[in-house]
Amino acid sequence: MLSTAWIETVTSNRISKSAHITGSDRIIISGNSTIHPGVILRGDVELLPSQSNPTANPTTIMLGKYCYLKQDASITPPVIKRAEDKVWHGPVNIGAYTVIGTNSIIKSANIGNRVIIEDECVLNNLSIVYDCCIIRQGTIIPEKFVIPPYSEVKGTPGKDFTITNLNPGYKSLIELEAKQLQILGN
Amino acid sequence: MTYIYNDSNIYSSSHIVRDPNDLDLSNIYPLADLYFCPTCQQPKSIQQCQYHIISKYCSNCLVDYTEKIHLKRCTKTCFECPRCEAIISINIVNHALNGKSFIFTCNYCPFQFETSVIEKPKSLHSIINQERSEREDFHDKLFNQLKKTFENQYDNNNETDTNTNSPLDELKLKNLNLTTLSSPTPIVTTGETNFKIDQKTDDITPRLNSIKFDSSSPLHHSNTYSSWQVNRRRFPLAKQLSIKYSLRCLTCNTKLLQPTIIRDSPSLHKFTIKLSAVDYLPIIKVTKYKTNVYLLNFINPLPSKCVITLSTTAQIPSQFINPPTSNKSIDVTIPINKFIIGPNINKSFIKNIPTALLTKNTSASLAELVSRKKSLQNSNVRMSTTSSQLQQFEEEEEEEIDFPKLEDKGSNWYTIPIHIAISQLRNATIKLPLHIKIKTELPSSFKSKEITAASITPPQKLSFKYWNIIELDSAI
Repeated sequence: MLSTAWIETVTSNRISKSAHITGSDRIIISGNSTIHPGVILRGDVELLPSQSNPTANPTTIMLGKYCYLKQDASITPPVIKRAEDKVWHGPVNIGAYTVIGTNSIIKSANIGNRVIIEDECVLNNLSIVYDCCIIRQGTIIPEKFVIPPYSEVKGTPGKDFTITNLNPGYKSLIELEAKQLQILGN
Repeated sequence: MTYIYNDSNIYSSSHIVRDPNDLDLSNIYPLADLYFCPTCQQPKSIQQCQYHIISKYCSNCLVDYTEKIHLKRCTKTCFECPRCEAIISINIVNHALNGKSFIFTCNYCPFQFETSVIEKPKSLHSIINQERSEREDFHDKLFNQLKKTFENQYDNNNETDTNTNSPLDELKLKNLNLTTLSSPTPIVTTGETNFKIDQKTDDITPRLNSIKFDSSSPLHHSNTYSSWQVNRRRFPLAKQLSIKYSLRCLTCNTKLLQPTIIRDSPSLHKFTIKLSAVDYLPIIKVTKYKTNVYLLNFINPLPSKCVITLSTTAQIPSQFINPPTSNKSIDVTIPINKFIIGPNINKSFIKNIPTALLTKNTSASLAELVSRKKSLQNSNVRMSTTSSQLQQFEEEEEEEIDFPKLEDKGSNWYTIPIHIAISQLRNATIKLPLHIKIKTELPSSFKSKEITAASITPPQKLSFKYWNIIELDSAI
């Protein structure tokens, strides 16, 4: 990694200058996170105004600490309402120690802590992934689907989609994996 | 280096093996999938544990179903697609005379289901059950016929059982001991009567033939997924429940896993007891140093130092070589077979990474690598990571290959070299069976009274041994 191609912040975030980040004032990155070249973060979407508090904080994407976004991953806040010519989105929260693989597309409402999403995965609109999950390579998660905690998910719905229990030992391993990726790189 | 995609697996079975030729490769598991029993002092796979469901909940609506023992699916309005298991959206259509119908639409595939018009309030489940009974097709009829036939068969068998009650109990006990499996037609002698077990009892072909099927409805789909093309009426399914479970060792009944039950937040997973093997057994990472020379990096997860003794066969058994070889032998040399790894108490994460695994991809890793190499060379010069110094270091490193100095150690890790003589074998994948013996102090978490059964006294020290199967890269 050439230092000229990267921005390093005071909170030890490393962000590639080739990453496509829009609406950066509405994106929160907690610290020790890495964003690789080609990553798309769509922070400039219009949020559905909250009825109780219309002036609430308009954060669209929130990344926890030690998040690792690999090359060409894409994060778009989920669509929660469509009108004739307008689309409103909701915020997306991604927990700490989460790794998102190359070419993965994320449109989830929430991704928990200690989650590994391998390469080429698609997490459709408003899906929810709870803590400590592994989404295997090429998995497609349908719209509004909820992945329970400690699950391993693989396959395509209608073909070979399976959810199995994950051993609790993976909790510490996923955390170590995310920390190590931040320190050692790919 | 990665912790999740591990190239080191552990043999876990109740059958103790001393010779690597006797290792059953179907009993090999990744370290992360195993538990550790402090009483037996052995890694335990899920097959060696007793499983007990503690809590049940719907992951979609988060309703707790723990007290409803026989329920397996959500009874609220959570439905999944019968074709792809995706969540189903429900829309209501109003009709005349206050009638309503419900449209179930899958969010992923083209599945759609519309109920008939309902005029009296009913639950969605009872509406679907009613529709199912009204629209019974060939497959449902077949299933119901089979179910009835087998239920009758079961009842008849039960009647026979009650007539010959006491001798058959002994028969069941003997069968549980698997003492008669070797006999082609097992005969169990009870002392009073001889019972011949009819092996053809489970053959369903005659019974299937006796059932008269409707000839206009052929059976033409063979598996679940080909049913996309089958023109068959399918009904929305209630969402399957998620569970929390506890585990106990089958040998000594020690609790290995006990989830904490937190009311009103069923999706929150915390554990009162969690004896995962990753927290007690060293993690072994393999790095290739050069042709035929590998580095084994042992990382200690325990807060106390441990003594490790390694042993293996002089030649790797043929079952661990792919493609298998009969005439070629692969010799293994481990120059160091006993060493001490320090405790895992250093809070600096980078200090806990073996030098062989450090990369030049990030400035932090590169700085640590330079620092360790320089300290190894007994340099007193204060290090910094300026580009000129790094370049100088990289040039020096390319020339430096010193086999005897490959042994290395840090705060909680130890690196040893191994030499594999495979000069005549090319493009082979080799698994190295390594017998590991570990001696260490008992972690404080094991002293908890909750873990061990009252009748069993926990050991004072940990001393255990196991087989670790290390997958080496394609050897050249």
